[in-house]
Amino acid sequence: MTADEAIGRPVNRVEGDDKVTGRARYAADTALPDVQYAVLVQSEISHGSVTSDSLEAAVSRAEAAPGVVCVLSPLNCPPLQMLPEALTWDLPLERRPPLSDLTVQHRGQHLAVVVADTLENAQFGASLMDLAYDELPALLTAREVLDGSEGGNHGDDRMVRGGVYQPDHFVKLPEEKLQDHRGAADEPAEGTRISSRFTTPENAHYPIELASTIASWDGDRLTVYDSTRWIAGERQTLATYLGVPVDSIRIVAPLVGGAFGSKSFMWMHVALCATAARMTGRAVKLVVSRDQMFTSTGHRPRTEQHLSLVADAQARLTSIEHHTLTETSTVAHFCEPAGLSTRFLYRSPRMVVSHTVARVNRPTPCFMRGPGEAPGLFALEVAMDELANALRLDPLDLRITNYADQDQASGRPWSDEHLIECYRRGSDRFGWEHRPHQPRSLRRDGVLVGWGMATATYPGRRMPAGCHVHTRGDGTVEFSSATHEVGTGVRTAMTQIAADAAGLQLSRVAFFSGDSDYPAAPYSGASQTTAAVGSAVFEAAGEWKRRVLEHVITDETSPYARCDLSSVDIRGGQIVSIQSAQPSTPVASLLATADSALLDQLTFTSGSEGAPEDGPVSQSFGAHFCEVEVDEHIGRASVTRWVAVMDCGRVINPKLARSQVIGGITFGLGMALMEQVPYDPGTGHALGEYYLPTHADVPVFDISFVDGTDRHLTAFGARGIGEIGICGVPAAIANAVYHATGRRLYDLPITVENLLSPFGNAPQDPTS
Amino acid sequence: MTAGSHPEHTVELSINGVPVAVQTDVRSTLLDLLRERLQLTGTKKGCDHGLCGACTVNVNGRRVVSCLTLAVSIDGATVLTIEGLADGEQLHPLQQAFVDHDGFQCGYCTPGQISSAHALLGEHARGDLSAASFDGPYTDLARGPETLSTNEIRERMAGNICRCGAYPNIVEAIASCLPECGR
Amino acid sequence: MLARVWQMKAFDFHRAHDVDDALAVAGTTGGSYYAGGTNLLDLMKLGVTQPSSLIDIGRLGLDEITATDSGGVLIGSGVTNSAIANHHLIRTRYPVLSHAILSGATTQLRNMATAGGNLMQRTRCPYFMDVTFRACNKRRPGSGCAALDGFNREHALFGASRSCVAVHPSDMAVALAILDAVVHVQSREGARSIALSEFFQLPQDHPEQDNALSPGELIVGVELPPSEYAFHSWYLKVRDRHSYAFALVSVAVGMTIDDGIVTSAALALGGVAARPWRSPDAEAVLVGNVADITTFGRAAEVAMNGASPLSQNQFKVDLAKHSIVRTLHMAATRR
Repeated sequence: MTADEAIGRPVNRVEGDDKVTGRARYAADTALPDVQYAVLVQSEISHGSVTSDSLEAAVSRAEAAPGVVCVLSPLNCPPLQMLPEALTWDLPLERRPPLSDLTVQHRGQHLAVVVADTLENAQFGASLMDLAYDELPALLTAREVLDGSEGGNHGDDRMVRGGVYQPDHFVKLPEEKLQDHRGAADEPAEGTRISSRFTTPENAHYPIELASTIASWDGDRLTVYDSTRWIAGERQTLATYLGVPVDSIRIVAPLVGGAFGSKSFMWMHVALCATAARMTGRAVKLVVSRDQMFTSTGHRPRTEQHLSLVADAQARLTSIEHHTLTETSTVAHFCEPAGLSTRFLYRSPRMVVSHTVARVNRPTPCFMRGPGEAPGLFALEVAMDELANALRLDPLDLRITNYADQDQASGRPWSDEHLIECYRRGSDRFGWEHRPHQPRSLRRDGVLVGWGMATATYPGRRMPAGCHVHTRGDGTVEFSSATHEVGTGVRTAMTQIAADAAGLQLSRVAFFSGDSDYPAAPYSGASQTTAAVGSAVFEAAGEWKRRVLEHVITDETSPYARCDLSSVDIRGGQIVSIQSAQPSTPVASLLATADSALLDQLTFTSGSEGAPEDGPVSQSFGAHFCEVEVDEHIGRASVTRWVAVMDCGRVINPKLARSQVIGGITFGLGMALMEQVPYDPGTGHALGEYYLPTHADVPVFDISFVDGTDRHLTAFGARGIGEIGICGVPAAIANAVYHATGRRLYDLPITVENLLSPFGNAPQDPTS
Repeated sequence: MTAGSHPEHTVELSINGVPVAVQTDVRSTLLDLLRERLQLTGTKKGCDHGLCGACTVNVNGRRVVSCLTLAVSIDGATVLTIEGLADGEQLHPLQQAFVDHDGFQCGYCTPGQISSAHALLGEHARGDLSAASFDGPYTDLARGPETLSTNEIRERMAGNICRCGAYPNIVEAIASCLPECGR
Repeated sequence: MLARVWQMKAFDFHRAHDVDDALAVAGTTGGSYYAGGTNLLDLMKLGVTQPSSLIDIGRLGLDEITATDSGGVLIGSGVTNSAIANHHLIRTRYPVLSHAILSGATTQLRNMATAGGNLMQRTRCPYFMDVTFRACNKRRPGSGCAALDGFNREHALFGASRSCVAVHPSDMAVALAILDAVVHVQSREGARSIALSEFFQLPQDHPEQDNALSPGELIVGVELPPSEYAFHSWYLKVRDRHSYAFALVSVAVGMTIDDGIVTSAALALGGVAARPWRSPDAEAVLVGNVADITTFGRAAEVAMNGASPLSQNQFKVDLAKHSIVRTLHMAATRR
């Protein structure tokens, strides 16, 4: 470690100046000549088919509208190819290509694309496409499917499926078992038992940037500017849909305005945009509208969860059961894996976890920040709070009593784990030891006050990634990878990692993302980007350094000629001789006089592997402590202060890491207190507004990180922080609400109706 | 609606100090005019219905949502967008504060946040109130709060949604600019 | 907003240069007046309303607030919501109006919306705002009311009918209601004044009619008589998040208190009806009694007599009672 170390410094975001001046470019900001505008037309019914007569008539009306250039519909769309079963079988990619026929499987399904010379003309043309449908009964909730209600789909057609199923594991990870059992067959008869039912609603990612695509063909070569968080996956999927070679497609995602799990997998509208561009011969721009975002880019599906906990007289868990019922569409697989953390988070000899997925006539769901953990830890951490109450134990003490010092699911140790320290430090910073046990004990200025806590956890993942290094004559070294700056700060973190691994100053290093011309990287998700792309950058930078040093020790004219490789180093942009008193020389001078052969030698592509399959388990942990005021007269919960201590391995940039955790907590606050899609009970149609937290809703934050280093996952010790912030937050809030009011709430979001006290004959003094 | 008629109007505006005459569709919002016809893409579309504030710009000295501003209705107006805040390469102190305090993550709501915050500074200097001002002493209502508390800043910025959750850093950035860089 | 995609038809756009011009063009074209556009443009995008002609009334010179000879104020209909809330006459003499306006929407929207526009804004009922729902009598007379047996959590407790249960969303209007505002309007037939209490229409059998205006009639100003409620007044808005959401329930209160006794009172509710719901019965309970919690509680009970909850908004009855007590308390203890 030297004083020059960039890792660990709270460096400002490298793209910051661009973002505050409006220079920052997102997909829809790309200026292309003669661009045309595309607008999606979507189904208004949940199940059935659009009549061909009405579709033909609608297409005619739209085609005749001012400025309309073409209308893509099932009547004329060149057939798009089906995606391979290897992908669709366990990822939320729809089995049916878009616009393939007149049948409708969910409201919001794409039925047409109108292309026109201006945005207003395209929108107006689309508005003329009133369609008539032959409607069939739809099944809109898991319960309806389980109850065997009439409607929906039945049977196991290749593309469209109905009924329920129980998937074996989560996505492509066989060790993430969705049906799991450990220990005795039956629950113990003795002990204290808690058994509760929890529900969480549909949640929308709601990134402020709308999904935006501009597709442009040059002969057989397609360039797509898209707000995607998985360039490589989109490229592959588009190539398949369009029936063209992958190499003929270039994807550019310059900056992405938030994803949180959306902007990938649901690429049907991107394929339609590209198809439209091919038909019109001009660049076509398609921006999904805000209401269409709710049906076209995935969402977190509803869950209904049953949690049963049994503890012995010493408050040790003897049994945990966590059963989840959730939903997916009839045309794609997705299972919200709510029970995964329950397999390992607390020590218990007996564990049963199950997931049942019902196929309903609703849009395809997909990963949303903390998939599984967000709803699953709500249930688990509220149940633990209930158990603590039943045992007359402090909720934190119950967690510590049942702390699991290894991964019970696999039987392997943790690679680097500091959960107890998170609990202790968080408790100290919050003042948890002053918490009175009884609910309704704390008041302030006429409102009730409650304190709640929850454990956070999220896996450390790492997939293979590539990195390109380009050394310029001016001495700057550019690293690049087809990853995505979605707001996590990857461009900044990679610059820091590259600078340290190469021994250069930050100002001499740059990192670029967002282009499929760069080496492939995994999707920006699963909190893995720092570990995955960071490893590729770390190795590439290390290799770069090695090549520079190789050159200086073999170059006869160099002051380090014939030194041992291990006796020279690059630090802070200087080539140094470690052992001798040899004066250091700036790398910049070397590069300024470098011939093209050397610069070529210092320009290369390399890659890093995925996480090792064996050995300890990389998992992040954390502890949340929060205070909530509840005003029972107006039914309002206000989250006033928040302490979170996170154990995420080495923190690359504490300023950015803190922001990520705050962002995750804010996400969880929305999930707890306001986020839901209101529905018309009769038709299941969404209506009304989806509320997100505003400036006025958030608490004061105290965020800190324990000193960890996960060298099992990465050489530089980092794990990941993108999602752990949300994990446990809804439970911490619900537990605080319980502590404030004595009301135990099991259904999210918690709203005015849940908190309002009845107006008795003797109204409460607002000041008491 | 007659086929083939493109209802184009000419709108004259002063945008970031530059006089501009531009053809616009009568239905076009100021937002789409800026982005699609003038390639001033700094201002962003987040919802197109006035619900998120990402499209906030300044028209005739007041912050507005450009997605609900009909372009033809502001003919002759003076418009200030995010592109007009910096002085060449020199960032406005508010912009620098956003960078230093990490007042953004994905950056997409940021032009709207900064445009709003910039206007907020002027509103405060002028003595404007917010709903939060009523939590203070009655006498504050006449002349406006002298300093802006965190609650005041939060309430005044509540029309700018940030899904990444940069809120506390945004408030810190704004607070750091009070009262020195009011207009 | 979860609603159908953009639906705007092209329209003629006229910029009126004075009131007579505006009235004349409206008469010829049957067009809609366009001020700030924060509601009208939104509804046009949603296809809820599709005027073939817009008359821009932004430059009619109706943008001043002046003191009247009787000691009140006259607010030009073109004054923006922000300008009203921050005007020195309003914040010192009618702070409850300031408070109510500032509790609504966001600064950006308040900078655009005008006094007249605020009164004219349509309901936020999600069935009204989404044209894919066919059953909406306010939007399509005779088609039914989807909210009646549907999602009605945010809908009316008073004054509704089987044909419509929508509420008027204005915060400003609730304050105007307790200030006994008068709306001045002009038509080609001449000028007239409408008491705010008569301005908004209850749905009855014609929910498509939001207010008492005749076609083409233009609001030119809102006049407030002098008020004694400058000190003891308060506006409380209860919503689903801390800011920027429409009211589930709101309350505007004004009182005079001498030696702890309420000597006059005005109280109105928002978010519970198709117009601000003034409660003379509650006011009668307050006047002459001690300004304390017991009195406030009785007033709250009385105010909610006759409430007719729907399937999902029963909670609003108790919420309103609590809110009334809270608002009265805040007004009484103002410092």
